[in-house]
Amino acid sequence: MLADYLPVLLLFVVAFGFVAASLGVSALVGPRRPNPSKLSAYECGNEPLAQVKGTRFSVKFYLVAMMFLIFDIETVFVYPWAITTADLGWFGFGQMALFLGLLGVAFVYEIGRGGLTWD
Amino acid sequence: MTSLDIVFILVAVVTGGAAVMTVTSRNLVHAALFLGVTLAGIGATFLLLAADFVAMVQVVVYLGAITVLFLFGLMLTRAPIGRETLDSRNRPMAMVVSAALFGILVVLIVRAFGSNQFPATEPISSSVADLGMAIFSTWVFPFEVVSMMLLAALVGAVLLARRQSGDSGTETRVTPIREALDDSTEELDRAPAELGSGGER
Amino acid sequence: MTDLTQFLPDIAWSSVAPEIAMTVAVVVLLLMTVAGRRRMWVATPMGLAIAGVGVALLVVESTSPADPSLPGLLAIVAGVALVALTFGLAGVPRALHAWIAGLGAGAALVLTAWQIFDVAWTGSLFAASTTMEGSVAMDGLAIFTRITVYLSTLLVLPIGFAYVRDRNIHRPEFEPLLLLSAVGMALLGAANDVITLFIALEVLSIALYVLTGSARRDRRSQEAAVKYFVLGAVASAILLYGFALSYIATGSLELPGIALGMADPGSPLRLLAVSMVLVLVGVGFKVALVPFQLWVPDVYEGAPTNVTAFMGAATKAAGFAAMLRLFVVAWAPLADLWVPIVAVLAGLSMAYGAWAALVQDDVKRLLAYSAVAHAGYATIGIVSLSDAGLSATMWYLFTYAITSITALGGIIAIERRNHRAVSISDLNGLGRTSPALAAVMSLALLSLAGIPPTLGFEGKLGVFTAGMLSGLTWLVVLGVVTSVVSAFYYLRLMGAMFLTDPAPDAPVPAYSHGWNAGVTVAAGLIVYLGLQPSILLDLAERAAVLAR
Repeated sequence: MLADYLPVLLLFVVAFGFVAASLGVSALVGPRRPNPSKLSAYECGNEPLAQVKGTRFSVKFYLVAMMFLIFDIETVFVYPWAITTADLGWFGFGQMALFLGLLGVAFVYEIGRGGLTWD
Repeated sequence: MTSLDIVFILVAVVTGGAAVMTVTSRNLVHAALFLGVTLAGIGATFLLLAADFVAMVQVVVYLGAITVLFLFGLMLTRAPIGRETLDSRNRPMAMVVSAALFGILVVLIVRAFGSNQFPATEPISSSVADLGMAIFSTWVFPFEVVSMMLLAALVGAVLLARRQSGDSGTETRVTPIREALDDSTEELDRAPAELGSGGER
Repeated sequence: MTDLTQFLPDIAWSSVAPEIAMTVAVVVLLLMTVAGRRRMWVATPMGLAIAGVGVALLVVESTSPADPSLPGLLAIVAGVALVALTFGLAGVPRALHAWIAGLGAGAALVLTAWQIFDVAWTGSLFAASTTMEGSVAMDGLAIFTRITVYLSTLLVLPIGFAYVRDRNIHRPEFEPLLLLSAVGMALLGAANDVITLFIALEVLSIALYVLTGSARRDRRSQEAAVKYFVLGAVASAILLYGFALSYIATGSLELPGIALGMADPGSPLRLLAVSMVLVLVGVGFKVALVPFQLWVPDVYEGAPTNVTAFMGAATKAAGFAAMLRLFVVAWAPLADLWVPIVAVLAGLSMAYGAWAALVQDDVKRLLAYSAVAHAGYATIGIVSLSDAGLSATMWYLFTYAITSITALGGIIAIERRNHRAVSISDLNGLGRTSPALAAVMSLALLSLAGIPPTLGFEGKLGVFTAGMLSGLTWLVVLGVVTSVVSAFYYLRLMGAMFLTDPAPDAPVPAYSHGWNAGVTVAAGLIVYLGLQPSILLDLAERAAVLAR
C-alpha cells in the first residue's frame, strides 16, 4: 500500500533537489558585485519609514482563521459519511443533519454578529 | 531492518529535530514554521502506519489550519516577531523538567512493554469507509458531541475577538445611566465595531 | 436501504434528555441574538416547534391519558413559555436571555427527575445501563452529577445577572457558553468511554476558558484565562496520552472494557500503571488536587465572580464524577496501586488548602485555597473504594456546590458596590451595615467549615464515615485536623463581619431580585438539607450504582 505513495516521495525529492541544486549552483557559480542601486528596494515597495515591529493585524483575521479551522474539522467528518452514506441510509443522514445543523447555527451566529463583515 | 524502518527513522529524525527547533528557535515565526514541519512529520508517520485518512486530516487540519492560526496569532499580538529573545529565567528549569519527563516516560514505556512485545505485523490498512462505519455506529454519540464542542469554540471566539462599545472590566460606572437603553443588546451591537483598530482605548 | 435494519445503533435520546433541553436553549439564545429586534421571528417558530415535539411525544409515548409522557408535557410548557417570555420581556433582552437560559436549566432539572423515576429506577434502586452504543451510562453517578450541575447553573444565573450587567461585561454569548459548559459537565458525568469523556471535557473546558476571560478589559481576568487555558490544555494532552496507553494495553476504549482488559493476567501491567499515572495527572488538574492546583487561586481570583461560583461548584462535581468513573470502574483491577497514591494526594490537598488559606487576604483567593482542601475531602470517598464512599463523594460534591455558590454569592453582592476585589477588611462590620448578607455569608462559611446543623457537616460526615469504614483512619484524622484549621480562617471572616466596626465610608452591598432569589434558595437549601438531609442523601446512597 505504501508503494502507492512512492510518486509523492519522488515529487518531494525532485522538488527539494531542484531548489537545493539551483540555489547551490547559483551560490557557487554566480558572480556577486553588489552596489547601492542593486541593493535598494526595486519595484516592490518603498523603504520602510518607521519601525514596523509594533503593528498588529486586525483581530478579524483571528475570527476568520477560527472559522476556517472549525469548518475544516467539519469537513473531516463529512468525508467518511459521504463515502458510507449508501450503507448508512437515513440513519446516517439524520445524524449528519444534526451535526451540520448545530454547526449551521454557529455559522449563522457568526455571520449575524458581524464576525465576517470587514468594516 | 526493512525499508519501512529506514523511512520511519528518517521521518522520526526530521520530526523530532523540527520539534526541538520549535521550542528552541529564538524567532517566533521560525518557531511556527518549524511547528509546521513537525506536524507534517507526524502526518508522514500516520502514513507509514497505513492510516491514510488520518494523515490527510493531519495535513488539512493541523498543517493547513492550526499553523495558519499560529501565524495569525503572532501577528495579532504585539509579540516580537523579530529576533528578540523570549527567554525567561525559567529556561534552565524548563529544560530540566522536560528532559526529566521525557526520560522517565521513555524509560517507563520501553520497560513497560518489556516482555510484552507486540508481534510485528504489517500495518493494517483501514479504509475511509471502515472509519465512516465506525463513526456512525459505535461512536455516533461522541460524534454529535463534537459539533457541540465546535459550537462552543466558535461562540467563544466571537466573544473574545469581537470588540464592542463600552467594553470594560474593572472600570465600571457606579450606576448604569441609561438603564433601558443599556439593557438592550441591539444597541450595543449596532455600535461601530472597532475590530482591529489596534490601540487601547 | 437494505442495510437499514442492520444499521440501527442503540440510540436512546431519553438518556440525554436534559442535555437536549439545554442544547435547544443554546440554539434559541444564539438565534435570538442574531435576530435582534426581530426576535419574535425566532421565538414563535422555535416555540411552536418545541411545543409540536411535545405534542408528538404525548401522542407517541403516553401509555394512557392518566399517565402522560412528562417530557412531552414539559416541551409544550417550555415552548409556550418561550413565546410568552419573548413577548413579556421584549424591552429587556438581557433579562430575556437569562430567563431563557434559566428555562433550559430548569427543564433539564425536571428531565433529570423524570430520568430518575421513569427510566433509571427499578423498585428502589438505580438500574445501571448504558446507551448510545455504550457511550453514555445511565446510572446513579450520571444522574446525581446532573442534579448538582443543573442546580448550580440554575442558581448561578440569577445570582450573577446584575453583577455582569454592572461590571459591563455582559455579552450575549455569556448564557450560551454557560449552558454549553453545563452540558459538557453533565456528559462528563455520564461518559462511559474515554472518547466521549474526553470530548465532554473539552466542551466544558473550552466554554470555561472563554467565560474566565470574558471580562475583556480586566487584566486579571485575561491573565486567569490564559493560565487556565495553557495549563488546562497541557492537562488534557496528558490525559489523552494516558488514554492512548491504556488503549494499547487493553485494546478497549470503553471503561468497562478497559477494566476487563486489565483483569486479564497477560496485560502489560507496567504500561497500565504509566497510563494510570498520566490519567491521574489529567483529572487531578481538573478537580484541583495538590500538586496540580497551581492554577486555582489565580483563576478563581481573576474570573468574574459568578463564573468562579459556577466553576467551583459544577466543574468540581463533573471532574470528580469522571475521576470516580475512571478509577472505580476502569482502573478498578489496579486498585492496590492507585489507592495509596490518590490517598496521599487527598491528604496533601487537605493540608495544603487549609495551610495556604490561612495567610490569604483576598476573599476569593481564600475560597480558592479552601476549594483545594475540599477537593481533598471529596477524594476520601473515592479512595474508600466502597459504595458508601461513592455516594459520600457524590453527596459531598452536592453540598460543596450549594455552599460555595452561597459564599461567592455574598462576595458578588459586596463586589458590585466595591468595584474591586474583596479583601477581608471589606467585610468589616458587615454584621451591622447589612445583617442579612452577613447572616447568609456566615451560614455559608459555617457550612464550608462543616459545623453541625449545616449542609457542609452532612457532607463531611459522609466522607469521613466512608473513610473510617474502609480503614483509612490516618486520612480521616488528617481530614478532621485540617477541618479544625480551616474553621479558623472561616471564623476569621465571621469575626471581621461581626466583631469589627465598619469603615465609615464602606459602600452598602447591592442586591437585586435575581440575587435575592438565588441566594435565598441556596441558603435555604443549606439549612433545610442540613436538618433534613434524608431526601437527597437517600438518593445519593441509592445512586451508588455504576454501569460496568
